[in-house]
Amino acid sequence: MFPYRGYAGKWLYVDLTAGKVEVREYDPELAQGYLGGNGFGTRLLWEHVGPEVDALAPESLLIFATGPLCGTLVPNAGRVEVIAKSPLTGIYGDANAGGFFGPELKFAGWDAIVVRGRSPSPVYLAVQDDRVELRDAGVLWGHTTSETEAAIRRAWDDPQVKTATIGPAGENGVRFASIQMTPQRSAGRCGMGTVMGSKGLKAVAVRGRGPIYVADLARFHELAVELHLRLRANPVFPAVSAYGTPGIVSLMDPLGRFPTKNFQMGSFPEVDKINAEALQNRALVRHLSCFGCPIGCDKLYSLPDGPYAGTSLRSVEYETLNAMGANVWSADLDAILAANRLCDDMGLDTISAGRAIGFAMELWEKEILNLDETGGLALRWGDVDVLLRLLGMIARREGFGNLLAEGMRQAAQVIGRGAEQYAMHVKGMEIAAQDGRAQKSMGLAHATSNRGADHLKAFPVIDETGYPDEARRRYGEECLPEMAQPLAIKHKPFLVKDGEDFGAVVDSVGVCKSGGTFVLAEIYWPDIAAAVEAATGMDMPVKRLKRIGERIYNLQRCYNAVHGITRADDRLPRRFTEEPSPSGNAAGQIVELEPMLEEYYQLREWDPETGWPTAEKLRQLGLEDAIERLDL
Amino acid sequence: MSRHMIAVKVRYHNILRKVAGRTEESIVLPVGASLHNALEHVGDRHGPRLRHMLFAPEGNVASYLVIFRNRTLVPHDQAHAPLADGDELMFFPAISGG
Amino acid sequence: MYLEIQAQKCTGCRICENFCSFHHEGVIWPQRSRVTILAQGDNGPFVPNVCRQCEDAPCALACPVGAITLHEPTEAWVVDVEECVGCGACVEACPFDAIFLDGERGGSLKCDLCRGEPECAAMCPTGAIREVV
Repeated sequence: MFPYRGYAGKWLYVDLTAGKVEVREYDPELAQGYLGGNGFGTRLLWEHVGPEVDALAPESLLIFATGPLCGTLVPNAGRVEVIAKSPLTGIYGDANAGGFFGPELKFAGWDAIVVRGRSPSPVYLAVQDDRVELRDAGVLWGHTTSETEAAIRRAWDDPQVKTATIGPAGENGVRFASIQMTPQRSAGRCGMGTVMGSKGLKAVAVRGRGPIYVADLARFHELAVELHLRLRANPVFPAVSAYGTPGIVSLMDPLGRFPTKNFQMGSFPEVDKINAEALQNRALVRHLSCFGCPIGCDKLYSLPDGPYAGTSLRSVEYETLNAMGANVWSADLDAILAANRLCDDMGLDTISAGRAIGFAMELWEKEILNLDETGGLALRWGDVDVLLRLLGMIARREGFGNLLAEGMRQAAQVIGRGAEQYAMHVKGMEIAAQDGRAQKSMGLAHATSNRGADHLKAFPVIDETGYPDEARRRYGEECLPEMAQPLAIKHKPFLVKDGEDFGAVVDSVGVCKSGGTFVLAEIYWPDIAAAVEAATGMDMPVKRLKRIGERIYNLQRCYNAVHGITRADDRLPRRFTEEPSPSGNAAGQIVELEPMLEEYYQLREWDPETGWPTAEKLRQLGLEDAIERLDL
Repeated sequence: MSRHMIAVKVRYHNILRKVAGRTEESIVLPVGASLHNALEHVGDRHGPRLRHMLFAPEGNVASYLVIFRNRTLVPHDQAHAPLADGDELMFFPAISGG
Repeated sequence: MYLEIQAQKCTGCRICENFCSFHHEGVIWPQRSRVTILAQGDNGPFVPNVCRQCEDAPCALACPVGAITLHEPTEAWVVDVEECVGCGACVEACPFDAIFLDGERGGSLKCDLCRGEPECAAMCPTGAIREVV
């Protein structure tokens, strides 16, 4: 019997080639060393998806992994990870989503689902507690994510079925296709939907009616209550609760951290038209929450009139307001909502899709692209008709959309003629709505993230606008003032390393980074350690939890190393390291990446020549098999 | 403005806007007035709910208040430096994200 | 004491269901929560549905064995699990669908105001459920 509570103790292995589903016991040692979530997924990728396996081959694994805290009483406990080798970058990939799918899987009695193979015809996985089977999805294939979920709920005569589905983009192999999880929360990045589509898997539908157990009832309850109350009293709570992530749109603008026109600028002159206040005045219907979250940052929006009248959606996030707004030089809020809804329905990552189009618009501006290549589309800045048309073309791989569907890095290579200098990506993943010139730690985070340019692996927030109180609490007076200063580089390598390790743990237990752990900066190592201990019964001193975070992060790095990643790939586009920002508080700034990288490698105990973990570090983390595979 | 007074524009954002009851306003201060004086001025004008978000109980600037002066971040230890006529201030609650 | 519901404040977080089931059953189990969030779809509107602690409780009147009695200090109607025979008369009688049968153990389950410190009200982050004394 599985020795720990919090977990279900078992997971599903789905072989789509053979059309079989098997029950597997959760390995207690895997739980001890990696907890769950991205830890579980990283270990499986390392063991089973080597460099010889193409991301879209049948042998590739697609992993849905919850963690021991998912579905429990601690605040923000609704998260689930999807892990696979990324067809966009060719290296480690993962995506994370909130909502209700993860908890439902736990209530059904499963910690994870691991999918391998390729179905000869479209199928979906039906999970009803312990009754699991593959069902024909022929009638669902080709339909949007919304239509698919509605159809499955009708077929089961149950409106409470939770689903993870792909849309036409995933079916068509768009390399940044998303998986949409009830209720239209996106596991967006890295092309997890592409992997799912390549396997002929249209959806995973779950209904769970069982309980989740914890080990120490009194202690866990006490902790959970304390964490809820601390979050509700946190000074950042009211703003996040009132506006959600859109609440930072207007703040990022004077910081110079609001990428505009494909990162040419960091501020957008018409930002007031697409900020949180404008969005709520225009379209707010009600406030919504993910499972177990007291913040309730999500909102339902609906357009009452105009060219996209009737468009209704939730999860309109900061990233999309940027990607489909300032990034393409558009202040058309209605069009942003329409674009967001389209991406949700088609199953497209709004960040990568928006960035691909912004990139193409800059190429048009610089006269690198012509009308022949774009199939007659004039890619003018701010043209929302072009934006919406191109999104559809990308999803269907039509015309010029077919090239953009390969991702920005590949598109730049194919186009040539200097296109590459405008391709704002790291390791093949498009940069999200941050600018390292306005927040130096973020520049380092983008350069080092294990899934390519990404803010969420390290997610430095202490120095975004500056939380000096929390900096003092966590790191002591000595770290100030620089630790809370966005433009300072001092202490930032430590901030990034600590964020990556803590983030790895947060993504392995199943709680939300936009909640207490990062954005509110309220919940930290000791809290998660205590919660894991009380929930699971595992002995979990903080030191051990930190080791787990390091282990997960280092193993992801090793995975990337065997796929050819070296220090040379820990870079930023020249726009960040050589072109001074023209905008706001970041005016005149570049990212001093090299000195930060040097210190970062030292802190990580990685070889500064290769950027790889040293043998000593790997031994410390119990990763001897990595020493062998990396030939150290 | 006159020799003795300066005009400063103040813009409120996010929940500060709700608490202040307005998006922006122009305030008139004596020459040599600081950011701290400007905060006191609007705190007095708009009442204790706003004042509570601008100042910590000990009287210094609230650590979770983010201030821009002419689109440059103002560290709180510079709150007593004098403002200039025509300065544009922006106030936000500290918040972060992706 | 009673629970005041302001449904327009409900965001659908299910914190009430989670804490309620944990308080009564020692596990997180929405199926056993005495409060249920009714929803028209994933995006609301949401209505927390729970026992109104009626003055002349139909469930108590319907119970053939007198298993549902008034707990004076809280004025909550409480099911005595030993006495309950699982006949379901109370479920039929309740106009609010606020009492239900436990499929496994056979008895009926309803809100008892947690004997005076209702968890759902304490943990509801928006005040959609409030304790009124």
